[in-house]
Order: sequence, then C-alpha cells, then structure tokens
Amino acid sequence: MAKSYDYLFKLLLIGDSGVGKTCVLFRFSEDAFNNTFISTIGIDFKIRTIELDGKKIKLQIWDTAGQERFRTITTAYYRGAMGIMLVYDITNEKSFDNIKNWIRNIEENATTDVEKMLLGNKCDAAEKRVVSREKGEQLAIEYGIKFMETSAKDSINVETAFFSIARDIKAKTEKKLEASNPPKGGHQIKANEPSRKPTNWLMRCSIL
Amino acid sequence: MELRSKTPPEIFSDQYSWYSHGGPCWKSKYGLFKPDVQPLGSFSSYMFDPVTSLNSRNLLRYCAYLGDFKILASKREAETRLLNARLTSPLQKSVSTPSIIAVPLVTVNDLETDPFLGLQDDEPDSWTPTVSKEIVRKLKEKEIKRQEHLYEFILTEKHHCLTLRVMQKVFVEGLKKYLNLGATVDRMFPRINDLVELHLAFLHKLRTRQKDNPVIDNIGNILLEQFGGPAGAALKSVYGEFCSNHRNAIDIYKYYMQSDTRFAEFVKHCQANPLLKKKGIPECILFVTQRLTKYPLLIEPLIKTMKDNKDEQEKLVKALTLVKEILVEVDAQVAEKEKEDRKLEIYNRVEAKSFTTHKGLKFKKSDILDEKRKLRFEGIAMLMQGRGKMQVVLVIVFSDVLCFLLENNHKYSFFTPENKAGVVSLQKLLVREKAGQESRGIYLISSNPAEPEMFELKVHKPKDKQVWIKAISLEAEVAILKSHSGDIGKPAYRHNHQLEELRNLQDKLQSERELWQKEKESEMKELQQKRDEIAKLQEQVKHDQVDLVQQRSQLFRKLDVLSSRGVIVNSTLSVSSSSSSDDPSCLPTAPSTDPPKKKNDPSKWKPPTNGKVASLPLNLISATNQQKVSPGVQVRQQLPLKLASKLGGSCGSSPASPSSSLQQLLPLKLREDASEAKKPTADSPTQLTAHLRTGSSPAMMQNIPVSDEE
Repeated sequence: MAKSYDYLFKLLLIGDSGVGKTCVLFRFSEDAFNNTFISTIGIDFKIRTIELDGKKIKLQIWDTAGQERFRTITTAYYRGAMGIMLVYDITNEKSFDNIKNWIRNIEENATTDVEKMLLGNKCDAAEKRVVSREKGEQLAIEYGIKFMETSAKDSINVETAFFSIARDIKAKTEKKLEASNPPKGGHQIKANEPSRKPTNWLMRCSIL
Repeated sequence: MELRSKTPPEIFSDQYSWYSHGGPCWKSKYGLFKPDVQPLGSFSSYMFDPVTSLNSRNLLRYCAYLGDFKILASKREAETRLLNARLTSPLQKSVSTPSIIAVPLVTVNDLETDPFLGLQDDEPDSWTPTVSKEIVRKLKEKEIKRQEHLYEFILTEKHHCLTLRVMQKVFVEGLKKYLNLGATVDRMFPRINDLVELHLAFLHKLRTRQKDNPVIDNIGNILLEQFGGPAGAALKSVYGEFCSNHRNAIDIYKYYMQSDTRFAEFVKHCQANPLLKKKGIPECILFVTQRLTKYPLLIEPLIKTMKDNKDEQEKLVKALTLVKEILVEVDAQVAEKEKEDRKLEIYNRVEAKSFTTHKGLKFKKSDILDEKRKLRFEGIAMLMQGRGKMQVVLVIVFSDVLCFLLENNHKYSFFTPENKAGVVSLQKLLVREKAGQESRGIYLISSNPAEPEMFELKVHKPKDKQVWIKAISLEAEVAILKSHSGDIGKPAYRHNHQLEELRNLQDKLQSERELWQKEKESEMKELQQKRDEIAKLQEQVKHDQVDLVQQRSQLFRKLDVLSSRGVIVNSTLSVSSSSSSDDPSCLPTAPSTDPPKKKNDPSKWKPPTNGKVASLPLNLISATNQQKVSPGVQVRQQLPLKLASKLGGSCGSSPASPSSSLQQLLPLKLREDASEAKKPTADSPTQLTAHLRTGSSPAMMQNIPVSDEE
C-alpha cells in the first residue's frame, strides 16, 4: 500500500530509427509489461526502479515506437519529460548528424531544463564504426551534455548511462525541492549557523 | 519417449480443447489418418519437426481416447519413421528447420491491397517534398503547417494499415497455415480482420481526398463519418475487444515462445521480413492498441490551424469529442476485463473448502463466479470486532454483495466476523465515515430489516476513506436501483440504470451549475456596486481637489499677508511641535491638526474617527462641502487636511517618496483608523497616511504641492 518509490522520473529515448533505442530500453528495463488502461496505453513505456543514495527512484522510460519521424505525434512524448537520452548509431554517420536536429526538436518541445545525455550505441561493432569516439565527445561538449558509448547487445554502459542521468535529475529535483520548501531546509541551515558563526567569530577574535 | 515427457500438459489440454471445439476443421484432417498410404506419406513428410510431431502425439492421445486403434497403429508407424529419421539424420536441427525456412517471406505484393491506398509506396516523411514548389510558394506558412499535419495524419494511418495488414498476412495466416494454431491465433489477434477492414476503408477515404487535391481543404466530414455513427460503434467494439485482450495475447505469445520451438523459429523467421521492420508479435499488438490514442494528438493541431474555417473547425471539434468518447469506452472495456480477470484470480486463490454465510446459506467459492456478480472494488482494511479486536481483511465489493477475505500464503479464505454474516448485501447498505480528521474509520451499516448489521473498518490512510466511501456507496446505490427495477442483472436494465444514474448526475450538475451561476451573478452585482461606489468617491475626490486648489491659493494669500506682517514661518512647526499647535494663537488661520494632539484628546475627536458613517470621509470635508456632512460632526482643521490629502496623492505615487518614510510617524490611533478604513474608499488610507503631513510646516507644503500642481 505504501508508495514503492521516492521519486518518479520520466525519461525519453530519442534518435533516428534503427539506432537501437528499443534495444537499449530492453536491456535496461525489467520486462515489465505495462498493463494499465488505454489512457496510458497510448504511451509505450518501460519501468525500472533503481536505488540511489538510499532513495528508490522509479524510472519511467518512454519509447517512440518507431514514430519518431512524426512531429505531431512526438510532441506528446516530450511533454513532462525530465531526462532525454539522445541516441545515435556509431556505425551510421547520418544518425549522428541528425542529433543536432533532435536537439533542436527538444528545444522546441521539451521543457528548457530537461536533462540531456548523448549515447553512441552499437559500440560493440568496432569494425563498422564510422563515428569516432572523439567526435561524439566533441558534440557533447558543444551542447554541454554528458556522453557515453553504449552497446545494448553486449550490455556496455547501458546501466551506467541511466544511473548517471537519474543521478543528475535527482540532484536537480532535490535542489528545486529545497528551494521551494525552505521551512525544512532553511530551518536546518539556521540551526547550523549559530553554532558555526560563533566559532568563526571567536577565531577572528583570537586572530585579532 | 523422451520427447513426450517434455511436453507440457497445457499443450495437450489446449490442443485438445481445440480439437474438441474445432470439429469441422479437424474432420478434414481426419482423413489423413485413414490407413491408406498416400496421406500417411504426406503426413510423415511434414512430421520431421518436433513440434508437429508433438501435435500429432496429442492427436494420438485423442485417437486413443476415441478408441480408434487403426489410427493409433498407423500413427505409431509414423512415429517410428520419425524416430528413424531423427537417428539417421546427422544434424537434427537442419532437418527440422527447413520447413520454416522454406516458408516464403510475405512481400508487399502479397498484401493484396488496392494499390490506390499506397501501402506499398515509399513516401517521404513530410508533405512539402510531395508537391511542386510552385504550390508551396503560393501558400502561407500557416497553411503549409496545416498541410503537414494532414499529411502526417494520412501517412501514419497508412503505417497503421500496413502494420495491420502485415500482421494479418504474416502472423495470422502464417501461424494458421504452417503451425495449425487457428484458435490460438484468433485469441492472440482478436478481430484483426475487422480492424483491417475499418482502417483500410478509412484510409481509402483519406487517400481519395488527397488525390482530389494535393492541398487538402478539409477532412472534417471524413473524420465524423469514421468516429461517429456505425463506424464509430464498430471502432469501440473492435478496439474494446482487442485492447481488453492485450494482456492475454502477450501471455499466450510468451507461453508459445517458451514451449514451442517451432513457433519461436517462425516468429524469428518472420521478424527478418523487412515489412515488419524488426517488430515482433508483442510490438505489433502494442502498436495497434496505441493508434486510437494518437487521433486526438493528430486532430488537435488541425483544430488550431483551422481558425479561418469555422464550419470545418466545428466538425473537427466534434470528431475530437467522438474520438475521446471511443477512448473512454475502450478504456471502460479494458477496465471491465481487468476486473473480470481479477475476479477469476480471486476465485482461483480461494481455498476450496472455505465458506461463509449469506442470508443463512453457505456462500462458497463457486458463488464468486456467478455471472451477474461483477467485481467492483477491493481493498485491504482492518475490521474492528469490538473489545479492541482487529483483523486485517481484504474487502471485496461485488456488484451485489461484499465479503471479507483473509490472505495466507497467497491463498484466500473467507472471513466471517464474530456473530455476524460474512457476506453483506449492498442493498440498503449505508456507508458512513467515522468522525474526526485523523480517523481512518468507516461504518458499513446494513439497514436491511431482515439482517441489520454494522461493521467498522479502518482503512490505511485517512484520505483513503473517501475513496472507499465513494466506491462502496456508488455500488450500493446501483444495487438499490437494480432492486427497484425488480430484475437484477439484466444487461439492458443495467444499461438503463446507468443511464438513469447519469441523468441524475446530470441533474445534479445542472442544479449545481445554476447555483454557481446565481452566486456568480450576485458577486458580479456586488462588484459592480463597489465599482460604482469607487467611481462616486473618485468624483468626490476630484471635486475636492478643485476645492483644494482654491483653498491653497487662499492660504498662500494669507501666508503672504502673514509674512508681510512679519510672522516667520519656519520648520519648527513640523511634526513634533505639538505645543505650538496647541496654542491656536500661533497660527490663527493655518493651524495644524497635530497627530499627537489627536492622540491626547480622543474624546474630542471621537466623532471624526467614527466619521466613516458620514456620506463623506471626514478628511475630505472642506469649507465648500461642509454642508453635506451631518451637522453633528465637528470639523476643526480643514485646510491642512485637504493639503495633506493632496500631498499624499502626489507623493504616494512614487514608492521612494518621503511620504513612505513619514508613514511610520503615524500615531497608533491613526494607523488603526487607516486599517479600519472601508475598502471601497480605497483612497482613504493614503489620505490618512498623508494626514501626518498636517503637522509639517506650511513652508514645506508650499514647496511641494505647488511645484507638483503647476
């Protein structure tokens, strides 16, 4: 009956068709088939609950189900997303080039402070690589976002990537909570301050 | 027979039920087992696969069951052949797979759809590249955007049709043809044919419109036709069934994937088909369930971009409501199915021997399955049993009764409270909450004269209380309505009751809305009144301002006279100079009403402070309007007051002006007055604030207002 999680984060996987978004999602998520009613069936998401610093975080990860090309439909996907994984395929130059378009799309449709992360998928296929790691890193730096090369097939970095974005969103959320909920946070600071200030003051005194 | 032991018993029962149900289909195959050589040969040739042989073994049992030993004999012969083939074959898998590999991949040409629909065409993702630049150039940006939305509507509809058709041709027909899974397939993809038909027809209409003119003018009527009327009803029923069955379909799929290697191979083989774009069966099913929810997203932008054409916009809005209605209906059907599944699960988990009493009779687990008895609500609560005894129970609310279950080791058993019945009829059941904010208690009071009873439940959280009360009392109300009609459970009646309920709710809503409307009107009236009052006051203020200017000029004149007589006007007169103002001789014509003085002598000033009853605020009283004030009011010092109000008005406009700092000098009494001031006379606080300025020197007044006024 009690809530089974402390936070619920909505994440989104976006990128060209065929870069392996669904595979990444399958690799990461529990095989939880979402069996709620149709009002929520309209969205296809997978769920996995992870634990970070003792907090249970429910990650609700949405997949675009091959409809990423359709702008009218995808605007609905962006609504309320807290984190977005931009995925490209390291064996497909075009998918990498399109990341810029996806970022523009995100800027148009998602909330401004949405956490973003760049993933170069299929890093197991080294022999077919056309996008170098450095190029990916460069692009990520350009947009000021995190970057990782992953392989859904060999399960490389998939966990790390989701944990990393979840950690960033958690930090952001907690910061926001503190800002909007000063009574608790503020009180703590006040409680600490008097004890700290006198020592400072005394120290200064002794120096004087 | 090592293979046989591996066979899950479910397969047998499943196949068996299929055999027994699918009689006619079976009879045609039946001939295969007549001991003539030809069919037997053909049979064994397709028996190299373990799965088929598995089926045939079930068949064998079926035959044995029928006592047809002739078939049994020939069957045994076939099986020996199979075994021999296995033993002789160096690579068993290579022997069993060809039959699947040999299944030809379904291509676009096999879809057998009207080429006009363009299912086979590779179309660009957006509209602009599909038309000539000439056309695009002529259009406004907004129109291009609208065309893009329309294009996406049609293109995604095409994709949906393609998916449906591919599902039908690849999975449904394939599984039926190559794996003999007829009934299972229908359970996995219920009403797929209806879906295909509905959507192809829809696409046909859209394509026709598109063909007429690449720049589509409107699609409102097509949408109305598709989502309303018979097509809309069909969508409700088809999607209702398809979506309700979603979970069941996935379960069947998972079961076959695990237990039937041939099935798994077939699916893998099909997924290589470029038409499926790597989508498997679960993905396809999910995709289909999602389509309905995309329509609102597709229609909304059309409504937004159709502001110029009111008629079309109206149609689109109507279509949107129709789609939403369909969604609600499908949603309800899915919910109903889930409840039904849950009821079955409860039934399966109740211990066989457990029972309780209902109306003096035994209430057994089989009573749960009563067709009229629908599961409506369930929840865990604490049942209070007097003398502080409590029991955690699962409360199950059916459409006609509610009962209590105990959970133990994933098994349920009925719970019968001490000296009470374990099943409570919903008829005449009252649900009341136990008073107190922190209380988590609910009373269930059965007011039925035959079996009066009362139960106290404690729910998990105080806020859960309302959920419970709402859920149970709603069912109780429905139960009462049912009993009134005299006929319980007839769907038609139930439907009527729902309608009636709906009507009642509507009536309630209507009356509430009326009430609200009235309230709103009276509030508006009040607001208007207040506005009028303010306007009146403003008028007065304006009037007083004119008056003020006159008086000020008078004052100046007098000041001039005074100064010419040698009286020095200095700043000592300001604020704290109460003693000077106490002496009227000091400034005979321009005395100041000193706040301190006011404080010192309240009795004297009582009438003015209560002056708000007067039609005119006291501080506005001047020589020219004095007659308007009730005669009892004693007005002493008009001029400075007037000045002060003027000053306050001019200074108050900028927050950093001195008046704001001066405000703090306001004596307590006055400040109280200020806060007391009536709201409508919004000006009065500032006037009162400025009041303190009456203590300031005339010299200062001379400076500020004059420069301000001129």
